Amino acid sequence: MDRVASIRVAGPEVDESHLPRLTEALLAGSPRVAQAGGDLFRVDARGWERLGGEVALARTLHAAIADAGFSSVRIGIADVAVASDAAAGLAHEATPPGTLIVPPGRTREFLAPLPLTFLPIPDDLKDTLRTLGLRCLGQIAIRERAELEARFGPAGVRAHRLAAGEDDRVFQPIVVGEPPEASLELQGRVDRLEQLLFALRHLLHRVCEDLAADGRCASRVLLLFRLESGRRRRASVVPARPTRREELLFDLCRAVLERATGETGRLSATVVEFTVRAEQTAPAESRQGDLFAGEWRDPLAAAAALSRLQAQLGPEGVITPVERADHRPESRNAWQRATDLPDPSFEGVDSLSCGEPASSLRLLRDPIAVEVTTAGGQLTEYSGPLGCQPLIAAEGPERLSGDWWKDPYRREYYRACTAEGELLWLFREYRPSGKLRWWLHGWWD
Amino acid sequence: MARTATVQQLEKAIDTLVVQPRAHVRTLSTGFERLDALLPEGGLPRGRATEWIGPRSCGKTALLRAVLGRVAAMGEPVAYVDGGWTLFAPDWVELAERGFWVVRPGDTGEAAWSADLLLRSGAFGAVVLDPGGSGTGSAVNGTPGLRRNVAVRLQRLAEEAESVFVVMDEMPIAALRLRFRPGRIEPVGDPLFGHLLPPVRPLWVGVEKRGMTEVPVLCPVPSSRREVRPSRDRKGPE
Repeated sequence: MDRVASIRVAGPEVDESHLPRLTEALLAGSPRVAQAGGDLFRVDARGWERLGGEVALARTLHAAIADAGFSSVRIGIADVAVASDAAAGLAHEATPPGTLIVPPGRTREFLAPLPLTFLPIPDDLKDTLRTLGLRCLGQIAIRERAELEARFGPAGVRAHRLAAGEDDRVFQPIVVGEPPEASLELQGRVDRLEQLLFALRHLLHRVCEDLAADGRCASRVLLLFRLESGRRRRASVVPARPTRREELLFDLCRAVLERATGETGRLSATVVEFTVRAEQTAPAESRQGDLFAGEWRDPLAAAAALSRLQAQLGPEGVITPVERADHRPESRNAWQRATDLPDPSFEGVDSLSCGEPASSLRLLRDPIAVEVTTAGGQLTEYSGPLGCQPLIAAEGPERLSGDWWKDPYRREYYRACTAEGELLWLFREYRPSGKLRWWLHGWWD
Repeated sequence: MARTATVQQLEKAIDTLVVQPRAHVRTLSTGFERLDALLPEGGLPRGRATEWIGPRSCGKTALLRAVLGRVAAMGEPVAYVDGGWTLFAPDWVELAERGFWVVRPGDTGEAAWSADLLLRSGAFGAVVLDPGGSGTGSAVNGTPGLRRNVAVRLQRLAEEAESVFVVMDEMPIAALRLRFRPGRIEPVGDPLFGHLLPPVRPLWVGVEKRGMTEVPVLCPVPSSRREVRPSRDRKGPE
């Protein structure tokens, strides 16, 4: 049976700079140490049976952490992380204070009376569960799992599992030290793309092996070149998601090198040393698939596909929409590169309620000049790329103007419907010369 | 010459390939009962190509967005190959929160290649290939449609990925063809503004050999229409 010790460290605020010192202290208790976020750490608590048991482990950890300069420590030990985390949170009420040990096999009983705050699920789901009258973990655990799945999907199943003491979160060891890198001194005149790619494959293989050994993925890879003249050049590769897939990183690095060598396939200088470094790393994702959930999709495979597209189409080739407050439609049409995104949640959620679908705007990259006839203040006819059509309805004007300090504009927008049912977005622009001009900016579909 | 002949021979052989229907097809409900009832398996088929074509402004993108929202709501990422670069970001922000990516290729060839890569990954619950005509079809927009050998390859990949695969263009071997046409728009008479857009308009969806049904689509009327009225002295366009 697994045993996990969770340690909450107070004292000075714990940040990256404290990690080496804290890790060293925690290693006194176990060779497997992980940071679970902020001031919470976990260590593997197995193997202390012949060394005085878990009480001795807790005592050892308390002493080591105090020696490291952290005054207040709470330790919880249990079969699974959800219970040991909760025990660490309640350890100040234990006797003696500071350590709370949940006996093996008693996880479910221990969790049952605890409030929902101890459940590591999103706050909005907690609020919904409270609204339904579920106040403690035991009330969730006794429910049928299928009932929660039907109502909340995979998030409900996860909540039920955790409340019942089933926690399959994977132990992610802390890595302290230099980022993985591999270097090669090159012999002879090396400036051709093929030569660099040959070296790159070898170096990436070593870096990816180191990453795998550390349980990490690269979120930024640096390619460092020392030139014959002694000067140094560097290029960086940022995959859409942290990865240690050798082929994917190779494709991305190759795209960078191809850009650097251009059509000639040669660099402008000879390289004498080539280094590949995983400059930034992140814990490896270990999301578990579900054999019976046909909809489960591998986020790493998605990341790999998007990264390859990005390498081929350029950074603006793979994008995602973002909110931007602006009056000008083309400025509101804001997209960001996929690499700028946080990790998306692939957790299932409730099906969206399906009301009437709303018309979706298709915005032209460059507005098209058109002719519009008006009579009596109403738009009557439109003449554009698809010919001349009468307008049966039009709404407007919506007047937009601004940016007088850099790029002034003054427009009147109309939503117009042609006799054939096309819903067009037209605008009339006032030019500084005093002339008016009509433009087609898009259509609704 | 011999090589060209061999390539042509191979292309002909590919053209004769027929995609075998599978015994059981998993489907995705569109969220509209009458439309689901019209579809052969009670929903959009997963693992098969669906042709999605209609004239400009008929409302097909509105319905597509609603369907993609359902895929994203199930926790499956969605990718949209936007060959015409015409998607308007604010309309799609809600989907982005659940895993929605837009790929903007340089030309039709790159669009098909992008769809190939996305389907091959097996990581997307839905992939939309909109080569550039925004679903009006090659006959209308003049872009070259998908070649049959490309269509066969994409169909195979969609089948392996069990993804909803929507092609907004003519697809030679599509398992399902949806045709959209706009319903009649009845302008709302207003004493001050003249003829205005109605709040809702009909969209007609036709499924090959199975008939048509109507889906209501919200019109893009300004939400402030009734609250903000111009003063009497403001002139309209002349």
